[in-house]
Parts: sequence; C-alpha cells; structure tokens
Amino acid sequence: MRKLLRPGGRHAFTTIHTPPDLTPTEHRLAGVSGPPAVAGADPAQLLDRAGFTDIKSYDVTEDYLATSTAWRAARVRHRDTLRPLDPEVYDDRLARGALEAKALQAGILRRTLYLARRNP
Amino acid sequence: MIREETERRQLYDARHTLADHEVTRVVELEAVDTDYGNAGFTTKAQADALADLLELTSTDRLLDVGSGAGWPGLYLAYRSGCRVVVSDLSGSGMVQARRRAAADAMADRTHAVVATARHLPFRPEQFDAIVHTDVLC
Repeated sequence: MRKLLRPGGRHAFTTIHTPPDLTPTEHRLAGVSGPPAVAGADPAQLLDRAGFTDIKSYDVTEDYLATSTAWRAARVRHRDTLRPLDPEVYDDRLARGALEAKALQAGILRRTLYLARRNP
Repeated sequence: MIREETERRQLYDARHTLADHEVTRVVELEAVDTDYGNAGFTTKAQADALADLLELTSTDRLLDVGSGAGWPGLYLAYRSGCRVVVSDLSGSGMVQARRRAAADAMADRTHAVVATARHLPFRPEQFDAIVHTDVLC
C-alpha cells in the first residue's frame, strides 16, 4: 500500500485480531469465532517497518461488539422475510454472530483502527 | 488468483446478490445505518470518523481496498467530494458500486476495479489516502 500513496499520504484501516498472550486454546477459539482469518501480526510494527510515520491506533472493540449485536438483533427481527432468501447463509451468519459475541465478551477478539502517514 | 481468493470471490458474489433484496437493505440500515450493501462492521458513524481522521478534501484521490459494494469508499467520496477508486475481488460488488456511484451523481469521479488486495493494478504514488476495513483479517 505504501508505494501507492503520494509522499505524506494518509492510510487508515481497521483490523480484527487477537490480543497478545492468549493461550493456545483461546487462540484456536478466537480463530473459529471471528472472520475467516483473524490477523496475528502487529500492524503497528508492520507500518513502522514499511516506512510509515505518525502511527496511531484506537481500540474500537466496544463498537465491534455493539455492531455485531446490532447485526444479530436485526437479522432475528426480520427472520421471516430474510431467512427464506438463503436459509443456509442466514443460519450460518446467526451462528457465527453468536460465536463472535461470545469471543468479544471473553476478550479473545479485538478490533483496532490504525492511522498512519507515508514519509514526506 | 490463489484458490482461497477464488473461493472468497464466489462467497462475496453470492453475498452481494443477496444484498440486493429489500429486506437485506432494511437489516443493513438497522444494524449499521448504511444502505450500500455493507455486510461488515463499519457503521456510518465510524465512516464519518474515518473521513475526519483522513482529512479528506475535494482535491484528494482516495483508494478503498476490499470495498465490497463500495462501502465505505463511495460514502467517503460523496461526503468529501474527492475522487475515489474502490476495488474488490467481487465482480458483482463492483457492479453495485458503479450503480451506486451513478445514482449519487459521482460516476465521473469514481472507478470500480475488480482486483485482489495482493496485486493492486495501480501506478505508484497515485493516491492521497488509502482506506480498508477489516481486509487484513
């Protein structure tokens, strides 16, 4: 991404990841509870090594839990019209949403917003 | 394209087809306050915060990687007046993004490109800002 930016350009992204120091069991659980591949490497270090400056991070895990809960509630509210579109997808999303909420409440999944600038 | 990307493209194409239904849009509005075919975790309020953090202005050129059907890149461009390139593995997502850009009268400053995040087909130093939401996970 760095080379695509003009000097001084801004880079912002969110990533869903595991916190450090999880036990192997917690790590496995986080892996099946979040998105298809939960990030493992530390993005701040990667940004630094890639030559970005002014690196800032914001923990947005609480927002992630609120949004995950809102998705699940909305899907349940509209079950009768939503599920017939694709029952397999509906059931999968609901099951994944429940796992995700559990993992977030247990503190084994996090979401972080990063902001960085390419060296001028 | 590696096998995992091919599988994801099929999955995302199927999701974007579902996102076209009225009830799916209602659920999206209730969950994340957006109507872009967004199935992720970035709400409208969070996209507003992203726009402020990125200090986007109308002279900027923004790249949104892994944009799905154009969220949040199209919205950030709509809000700031900047030019935008949205990219995603999903061809149907990019079709929806083009349709949305036309509906919002910003087709002339929008490009929707089907590409993998590993091989972005752009020349160096083309963008003033890059955004991606939960693509690294």
